[in-house]
Amino acid sequence: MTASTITGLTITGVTKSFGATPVLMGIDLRIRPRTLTAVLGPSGCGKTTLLRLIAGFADPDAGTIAFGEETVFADGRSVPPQRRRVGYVPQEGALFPHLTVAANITFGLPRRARKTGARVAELLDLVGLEQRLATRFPHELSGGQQQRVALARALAPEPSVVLLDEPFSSLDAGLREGTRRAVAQALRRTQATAVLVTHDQSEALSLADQVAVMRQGRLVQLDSPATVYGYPCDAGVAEFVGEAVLLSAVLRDGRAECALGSLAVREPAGNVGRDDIGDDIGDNVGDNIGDSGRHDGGAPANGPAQVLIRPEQIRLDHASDAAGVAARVAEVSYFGHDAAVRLDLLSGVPGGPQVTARVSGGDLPATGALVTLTVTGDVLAYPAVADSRPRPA
Amino acid sequence: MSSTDAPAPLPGVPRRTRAGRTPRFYPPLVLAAAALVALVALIPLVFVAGYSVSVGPAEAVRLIVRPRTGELLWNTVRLAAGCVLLCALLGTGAAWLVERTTLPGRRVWNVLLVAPLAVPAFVNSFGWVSVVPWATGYGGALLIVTLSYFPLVYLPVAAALRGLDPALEETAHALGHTPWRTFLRVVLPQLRPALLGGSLLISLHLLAEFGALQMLRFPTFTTAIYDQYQSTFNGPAANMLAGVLVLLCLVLLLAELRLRGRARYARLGAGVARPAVRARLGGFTVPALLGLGVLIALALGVPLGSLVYWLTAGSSAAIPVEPLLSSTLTSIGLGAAGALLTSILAIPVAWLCVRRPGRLSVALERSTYFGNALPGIVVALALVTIAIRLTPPLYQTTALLLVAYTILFLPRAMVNVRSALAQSAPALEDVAHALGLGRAATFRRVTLPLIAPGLGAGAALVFIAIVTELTATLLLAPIGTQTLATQFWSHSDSIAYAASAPYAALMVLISAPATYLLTRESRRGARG
Repeated sequence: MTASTITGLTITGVTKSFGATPVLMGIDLRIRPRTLTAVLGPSGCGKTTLLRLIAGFADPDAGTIAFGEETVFADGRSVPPQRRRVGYVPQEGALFPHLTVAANITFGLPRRARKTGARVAELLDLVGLEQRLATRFPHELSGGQQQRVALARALAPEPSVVLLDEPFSSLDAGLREGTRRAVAQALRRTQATAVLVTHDQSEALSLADQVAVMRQGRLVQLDSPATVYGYPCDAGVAEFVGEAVLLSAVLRDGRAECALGSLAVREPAGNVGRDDIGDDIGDNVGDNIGDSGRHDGGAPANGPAQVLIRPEQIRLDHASDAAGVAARVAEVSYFGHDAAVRLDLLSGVPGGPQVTARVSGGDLPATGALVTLTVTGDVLAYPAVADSRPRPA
Repeated sequence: MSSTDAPAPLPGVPRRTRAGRTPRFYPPLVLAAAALVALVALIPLVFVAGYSVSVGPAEAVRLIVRPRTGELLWNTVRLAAGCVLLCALLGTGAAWLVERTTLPGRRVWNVLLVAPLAVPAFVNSFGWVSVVPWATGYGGALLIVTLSYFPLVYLPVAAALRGLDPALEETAHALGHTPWRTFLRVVLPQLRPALLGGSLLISLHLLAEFGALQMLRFPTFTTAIYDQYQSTFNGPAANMLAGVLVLLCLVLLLAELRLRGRARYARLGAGVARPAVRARLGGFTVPALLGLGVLIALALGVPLGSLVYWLTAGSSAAIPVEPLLSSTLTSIGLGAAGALLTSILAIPVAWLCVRRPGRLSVALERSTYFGNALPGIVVALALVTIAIRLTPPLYQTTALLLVAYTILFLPRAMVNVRSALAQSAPALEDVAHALGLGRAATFRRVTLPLIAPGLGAGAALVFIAIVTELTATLLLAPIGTQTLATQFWSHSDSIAYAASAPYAALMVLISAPATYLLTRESRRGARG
């Protein structure tokens, strides 16, 4: 792929409604060339609509979309999808059922290249498929193979941006991991600019250079995977990108007093721990977040607050007389490699807070056993509101 | 270029309208084509309505309220009612035997029970009348139309029985119901959409039936309109009778449309793969076989046997090779041209209806649907009158005849093209656009190859329908143009049975493949 064809992507103030239902409420998003961005959100948050607007299958109500320097949508004028040079990988691949794998891959190439099938071998190799598959028809492929062919087909005309719409959601768990890896590798080898829409947080965190978290038609956070997981902008995002234990607390002098003891409060991400991507795009995101209070600066220095603890931070001690907070094991969900242990805290009022700890699979407590809990590392504090979701801007 | 407030000029990109920003955007060329097709399809209806209004209420009442109209109405209604009742009994009974019992030779029976559709009703009635001359009047008409049309109930009911979840019946058995009570209380209610749909289709066919009833000398609206037209040539009486007939058809059509909405609901459970346990016939095997055998003998054996008889009887007089050949070629030529035209015209309407569902596209689709309900005689009469008054050069041309075929048989092509389009995922067209193809190229390289099988099946059905069409062809064919159907008709009209037999035999031969196609379609429909 030649360097000149790959561009970044700039989306400014994009809104979209279906009838009276607003789907996107002012999306600003800048994606640098040669990066993979995951748009992560629950179903119905508008992420697929955003992708279709970028591809040109539908037009925004307002805002602009530009590929590099070239505006493709502004002020009601729209470049039709066939002239936008996007690669599009829809859900379940959508291979042309009447064409072989080779013909599918060369579909977007000029007639001469289609006749000779010149780049089929190269593209099959790129997505990690065997050459003998070239003559097969789509129904003779597994779901994972179909997705890889769909990616090869999208990459063949050297698009400026590659768009992937939940490409792995229809695959069963066994195929998903391998297909993900092959797709990510192919995207990195071509250095394509890619936007991946997904509702699977582990997929977003493991594949992407940056993660854009969407909720109810708004972009609420745009950061590197580590920052999104470590410094979620509010409790809602914290719960969405991973398992979260949220406890009410009182902050005093950089420490939080909560049911799990006195814990060190992490410096807000705006000051430390954010990589360059986060810094780079921080300004873009500010508008979207409105007054919901990005956690940096949002949490009170002293007074009531809410703290976020990840289950893997909670350590279990089988000896009930060890230092820490006493708890009783309520329920154990065993996953093989590890387990989630639900615990009733004994220190609080009866029926008080329940917390979840993640422990390795080898050393499981019995249901009803008494254990002591300690928290490793520091915790993140949010304002002490019952509901920390963003208020309307 | 910059991506700031002032939008960069986008050369050659039209400014899209407000509608262009929603998925409901109608491509203007496709919309224009679809609108044109819908307008053509509406010509007969608009003509009949317009004519009735222009005649004025007093004259209309004078023309309609006559003892003759009452007699025709009574004849039409009692024939339709009797035929629907008999077809429902025969069709459901046969479907149950084939789909739900241990009847021997079920696959053969399935083909044989659909086969009567390959024999046009007027050939069937020719077969009966020419060997059983007393088979006329109400009794004869009822017998013959029932034998011709019962497959129209058999097909949907058999498909519904195949798709029915056996767990429902098993639950009823477990709750203590006998098989007979289970059939009445569980199975029959589920069959209702299929049964009613088939019955309505039969009623519409009967309202339009001309050849068979004319031959049996049983006057209904359609035959009376034809006689009026022949005697007074386009008189107001014929047009007013057509108005009443159209009204009857529209009532049935409305019922059918309401039913279609519910039928979709009924099909929700059709994905069940597990076959039902078949009832053991035991001692009833022989009576069941005998009953089906008699039915097939009457519906297929009599007409085909009599065709063979007249063919061999006519061999003394040499078979007229030249007119036979020329009318075969004419029929095939008209059929091919009509099928091609109808299929092409179905595409834009079907595409809009499937890909851009909205009030407008549904309205356009529904307008083409009227052809299902309009008897050939009404369409022909409307086109004749309009051509004589507005476009005299078009009168007595092949083009006008093809327009009539299109109006009459568009629904058959539409059904197939629409379901083929619905089966091809819209994401495929999105992908093609993203890969740089415009609308036309996408249609040529993606959509067309995908809908080709459906398009072909629809074209085949239209082809067969045109080859066996009689009424519109009699009225509209240019002078000197003789099809198999019109040749057959002119000979059998003068009771030259032996001379008309070869034409009928050829029509049956040409229809047979489409009938086989129908049995396959219904199998697939039940599985999907």
